[in-house]
Amino acid sequence: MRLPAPFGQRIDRSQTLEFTFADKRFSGYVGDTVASALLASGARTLSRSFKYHRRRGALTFAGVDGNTLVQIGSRPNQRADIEPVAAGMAADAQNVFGRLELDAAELLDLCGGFLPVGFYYRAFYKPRGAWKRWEPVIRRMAGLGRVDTSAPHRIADIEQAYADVAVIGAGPAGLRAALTLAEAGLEVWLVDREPELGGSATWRRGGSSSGHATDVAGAVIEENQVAALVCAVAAHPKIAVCTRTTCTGWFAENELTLMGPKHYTRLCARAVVLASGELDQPAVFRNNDLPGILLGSGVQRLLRHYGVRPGQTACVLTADRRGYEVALDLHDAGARVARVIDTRQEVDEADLNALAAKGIAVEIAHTVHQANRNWQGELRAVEIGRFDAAGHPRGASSRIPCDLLAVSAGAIPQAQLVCHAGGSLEFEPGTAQLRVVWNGTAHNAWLAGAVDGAQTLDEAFASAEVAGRCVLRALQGEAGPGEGAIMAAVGGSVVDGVSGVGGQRAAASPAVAMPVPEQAPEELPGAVFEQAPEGLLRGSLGPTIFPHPKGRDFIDFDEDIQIKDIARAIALGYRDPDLVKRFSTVVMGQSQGKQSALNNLKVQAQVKGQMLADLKLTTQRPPFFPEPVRLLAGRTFDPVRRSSLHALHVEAGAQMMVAGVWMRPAWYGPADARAVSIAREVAQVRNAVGMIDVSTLGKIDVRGPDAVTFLNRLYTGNLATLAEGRTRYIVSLDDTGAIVDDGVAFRIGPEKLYLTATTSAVDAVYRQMLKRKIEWGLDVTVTQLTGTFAAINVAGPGSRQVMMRLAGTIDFGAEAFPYLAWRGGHLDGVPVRIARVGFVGELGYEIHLPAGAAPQLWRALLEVGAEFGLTPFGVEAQRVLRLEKGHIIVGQDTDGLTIPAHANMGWVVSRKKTESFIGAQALLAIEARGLDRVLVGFRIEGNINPPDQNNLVIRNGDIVGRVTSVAKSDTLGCIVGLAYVAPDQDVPGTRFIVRRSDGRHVEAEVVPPPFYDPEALRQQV
Amino acid sequence: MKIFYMQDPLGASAASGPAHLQSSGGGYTSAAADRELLSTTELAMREMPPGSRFGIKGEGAAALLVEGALLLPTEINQAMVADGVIVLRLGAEEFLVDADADADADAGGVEDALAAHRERLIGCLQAWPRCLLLPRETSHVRLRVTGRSAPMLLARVSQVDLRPATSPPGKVLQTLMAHVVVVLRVCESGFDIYVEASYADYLADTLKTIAATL
Repeated sequence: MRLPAPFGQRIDRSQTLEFTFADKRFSGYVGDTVASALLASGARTLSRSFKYHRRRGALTFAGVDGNTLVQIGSRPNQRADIEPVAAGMAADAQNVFGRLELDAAELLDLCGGFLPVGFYYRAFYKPRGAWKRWEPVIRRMAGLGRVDTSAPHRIADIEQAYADVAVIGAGPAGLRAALTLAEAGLEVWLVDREPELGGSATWRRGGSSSGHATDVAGAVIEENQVAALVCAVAAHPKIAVCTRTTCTGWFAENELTLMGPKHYTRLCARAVVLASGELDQPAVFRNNDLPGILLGSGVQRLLRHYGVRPGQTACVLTADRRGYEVALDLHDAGARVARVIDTRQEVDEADLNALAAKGIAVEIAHTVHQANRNWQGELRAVEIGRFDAAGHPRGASSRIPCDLLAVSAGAIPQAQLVCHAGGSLEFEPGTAQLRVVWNGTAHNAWLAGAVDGAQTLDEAFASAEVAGRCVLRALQGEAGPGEGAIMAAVGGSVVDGVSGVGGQRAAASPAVAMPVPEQAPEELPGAVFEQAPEGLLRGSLGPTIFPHPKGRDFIDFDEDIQIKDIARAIALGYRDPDLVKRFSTVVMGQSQGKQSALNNLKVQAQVKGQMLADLKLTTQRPPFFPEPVRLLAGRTFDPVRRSSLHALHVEAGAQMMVAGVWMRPAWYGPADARAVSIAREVAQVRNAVGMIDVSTLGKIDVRGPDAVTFLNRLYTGNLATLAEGRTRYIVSLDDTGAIVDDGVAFRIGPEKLYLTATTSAVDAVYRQMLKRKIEWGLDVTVTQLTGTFAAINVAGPGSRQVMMRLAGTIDFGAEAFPYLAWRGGHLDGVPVRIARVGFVGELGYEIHLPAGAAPQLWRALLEVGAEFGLTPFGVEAQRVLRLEKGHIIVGQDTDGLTIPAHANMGWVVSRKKTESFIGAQALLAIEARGLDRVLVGFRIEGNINPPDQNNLVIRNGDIVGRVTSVAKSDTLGCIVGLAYVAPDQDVPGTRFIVRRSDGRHVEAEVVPPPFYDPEALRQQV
Repeated sequence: MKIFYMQDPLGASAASGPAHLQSSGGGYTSAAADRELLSTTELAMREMPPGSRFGIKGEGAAALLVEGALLLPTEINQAMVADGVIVLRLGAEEFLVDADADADADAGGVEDALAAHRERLIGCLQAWPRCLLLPRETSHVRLRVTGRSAPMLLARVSQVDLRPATSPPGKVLQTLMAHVVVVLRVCESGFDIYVEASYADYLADTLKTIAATL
C-alpha cells in the first residue's frame, strides 16, 4: 500500500511509469525501485530460491540479499530492491520452471529430505558414467539468470583518482567526519551507495540519542542536525560527493575500488574513514523465508524512502530496542501492530510505555518459532513461544495472524571492507560484542559510527570526530591551516588504533542473558546440539537459535542452508568454520554472508558446544558487492602507430596491416589481389627498383666516451673495430644466450654510434640500455629516436640511378659509397643519413631522415624513380625477398632458446674483443654441451601447396623441429624456407619430412642459404 | 664530403630550413596544425602549431640553454615560462623548448625568438659533441586539453595525480597515457600533452572517444 507524504522521500508522485514483471503489468513512480513498485502494487513474491524453489520476497531493502535477484532485459541477477524502475522496463523472475506463481521445481521443497547438504558430492557418480547423464540436468537446474551473449558490448572506463581522505559511508558519522576533515583543508571523497546523503538518518526513526523510541522532540533535533550537516557537506568545495557509488574493495596503500553507475574508479587516498554502518540480521525459525518477513530496517526504508507499507497487520520480532522504533513507525504508517515479540527478558520501561500508549502489546522473553503461510505461499501468521529464565522454550503459546513480520534480531558492523584491508571481526570477550579489530594507525584508516559500535547519533558524531582527529594527526603538517582549529574544536586526546566510542558504549551496555534451547530435536541428522556453555550468547547478538523439528529454518537464504545442514557438515567432520563453509556453501551465495555469517557461527557454536568468542568469521574477500565484468575490464587500449608516410600509403592503395603496434602496408593493390600484388612487387625489386617504408625500425643514438665499451657489452660483435663511415650487423642476447634483437650499427664518430633495432624489440632494448648504463656506471648518453626519424629503403638494381637523380650532397658512386658504408648529407634538400645495407639482397640504400621530412622525400623518389620503374613494395613482398636471401627475422626464426649457433650465425660473436657481453657465459656452456637443433634452409620442388609456418619436422615419427619461415618463390621457381632440424640433418642435400597443416607429409631438401645470389654479388655492386 | 650527422640529427636542417621538415602527408605532423579537435562547453582539445619547437639532450644541454639566456627550471619535471618561451626540464640534461600559447607576447615574435635559439644552438653543437638537438616540431605533437572536464578525461587514460595541490601549473609529468608515453605539462589553462607524432592519431581519437562518454 502506498502512503501519503511525508512518507516516500525518493518518489515523485507526479510522474508515474509502467513496467512489466513476470509478464504482468505494473505501475510505479519515478524514484521507485522495481521491488518497491511491486510491493506497492501488492506483489510480494520476487523470486524463487536457489535449491528448493521456495517463494522469496524483499528482505533487507538495502541491496545486500539474494532474495530480490531478477532479470532485467539482458542483465541477470539485478537486485530489485535497489534497481530503479524505468518506464517500459521488462523485468522477469529468475530460477523459475514455469511461472513465478507456479514453479514446477517447487516439488523439490517437498523432497528436501532426499537432498541433504553436500548430496551432490556423493550422488551422480555411480554407476560408472552416470555423471555424464546427470551433468546436463544439473547444469540446467543450477544457475540463476540468463546471460545474453548477444547483448551489445558496452565499454566502461576506469578512472584513476586521488584524495587526501576517503570517507566511506555518508550517514551521520561519515558526514561529520567528511566535514571535519574538509574544514581542516583536506580534499575529501565521500562515497555512499544510496542516491542521497544521510545514510540511516534518511530512514531510521530519530531520537535515538535520548535512548527512548518516543522522543519526538529529540527526533526533530536530530533530523535538523543531520539536515544541516547534509547541506554543509553538499556545499563544501573540498568534498567530492559520490552517491550511488559502492566501494567494492579496499586494497594495499588505501587503494579503494569504487563502482559507480557508469564507471569504475580506483581511488588512492592518504587516509580512510570507514563509516559503513551496520547490517541488520535476520532471525532463524521455521519458514523464516516467507514473503512478508522483512528486516525491520527494510520496513523502515520502504516506509520513508518509497512510501510503501508492506503489510496491513504486522508483528515485530526484536532483540533490541530498534524493534520498538519499527513498531512505532508501522503504527504511524497506519498498520495494525498485532504484537511486538521481544526475545529479551529485561526491557526498558519507557519503551514499553511508549508502545502501550499506542495500544501495541509486547510479549517479553518470547520468540517466533514458526511462520505459517497462506495458499499463495506467503506469510499468514506467526507462532510465538515463551521462554523460562534459563531460556528454555516452552513450546508454542500462541498463533498471531499477520501479513507482515518485521525482524530486528540484532546487527553486526558492516566491516567487510575493513576485513579486505587486514582487519577482522571478532567477539569481544566478556561482552560478546562483535567488534572490529583494526590498527588504524598502521593503515592511516579509522572507523566511525555504527561500524565502530556507535548506536546513537551523539555516539556517531563523537566517533566521527575521534576518527577525524586521528586522520589529522596522521597527516600532520600537511593538513593545512585548519587543523589547529579542528583539534581545538573537538578537544580531547586522540585515541590510537581502534577508536573508543563503541567500546565505551559496549562496556556500558547491560549484559542480558539470552535463552538457549532446552533440548535438541531428535530429527537432526547425525549431530545434536551439544550442551552450550553458560553465557554462550550475550549482548546484542540476537535471539538464540534452535532447530525446528520440521526444519526449513534457514541460516542462509541464498543457498537454502538450514540449521540441520550446518549440523550435518559438522557431523561429517568439517569442524572448522571455513570447512563448514566450503562443504555446505553457507555464506558463499550472492550476499556473501551479510545475513548469514553471524547466524551460521551461532549455530556452529551451539552444535560444537563452543564459545562464540572461540570461533572466527570466515574470510571476507573483495568485492563487497558484485561487479559487472565490463566495469572490471574497463576500456582496452590498443595503441597504433602510424608512420609519417601513412597517408601516402593509403593514397597509393596500400592494404594496411598491423605489425606490432605499427600500421604498415602489406601490399599495394586490391585486397583480393594479394598473391598477384606480392609477386609483382618482388619482381619489381629483383628486376628494377622498389622502395619500402621502414620507419618502424627502432633507432637509438649512443654517444659518450664509453659508447663502444657500452655497446660491446650489450652486443656480441666487436664495435671497436667498426670504422667511422661504416655499418655492421649486430646481435644482442639475453643472459641465457638467446638472441633477443638484431640491427645495424652506424659508426658516426669515435664516441658516437647510431643503431637500428627490430620494430618489436626496440623499447625493451632501450630500457635495457638505460638499466645497464646505470648498473655499469659508464659515461654514455642514450637517446631513442624511433619516432623522431623515418626510414625508407630503396632497393633493386636500379636503386643507384634513382638516388643519383636526386639533388644532394652525397656521392653514390660504388667506390665513394661502398657496400656496408653509411653517408650523411642532403637529399632533395632534406638532411639524411644513408646506409648501404640490404635486407632483400639487392643493391640498396636505407635512408634515415627526420620523420616530418619523409613525405617530401618519398614523393621526390617516386618522381625521379618513375623513369626506372620505381614502385613501393609492402611488408609481404619484403618477407619473401628476405627469405630468398636467407635472412632471419628475430622472433620468427628464433625463439626464447635460440643462440647464434642454432641459427648458423656463430660469426656474429666476436671471440677476440676484450669485453665480455651479456649472454657470453651462457653461450660457452650451451656450446660445450652440443647443439640440440639447427636452423637450416630448405627447398621443396614441385607445384604443391607449401607447408605453413610452425608445421612440424618429423623423423621416425618423432618431432625434431619446425618450419619457421616459408614462401613460394617465383624468382627461384620453388618453395623455400627455414626450419629447425636435428643437428645431423644440416648437411646440404639431406631430405627431411614436414607434416603440413592438412596432415600430409612433404619432403624438403636442405639447402644452405642464401637461396638467392649466394655470392652476394648483386648487393655489393 | 661533409658527414653532417656526425654532429647532430638536426645539423643540416638549419641550412635547409624548417619548411623541409614539415609534412602534409602523415597524420598529425602537419604544417597546418593548430586545429580544433574537440570543443564542448566542458572540454576542448586542440592540436597546437609545431612552430620551432625543439628538444635538446646530453651533456652541455643546460649550459647551452643558459648561454642563450633561457630560464631553466631548477627541478626535473618542471616547466619554466619566460618571454613567451616554455622550457620543460625532462632530465638533468634533457629539455623540451616550445612557444607558450598563453603568452601575451606577440606570437610571431616568440616564434622568431625560438627559431633564433635553435639556430644558435646548432652553431654551438660542434663544441658540445655529447649534445643532441632533436626535431620536436615534427617528431612530436602537442595536444592542448582544456575545460572543466579535462582532469576527468585524463584520469581515464592515465594514472597520475592531477589535483591542483599535487600538480600545480608548471608541473611536468612523464607518464603513460592510454598506454602511450607522453610528456604532460600542467598549465594555467589546462594541460599540454606532448606525444610522438606516430601515436598522435591514436591518442587524439582515444581522447575524443572517451570525452564523448563524460
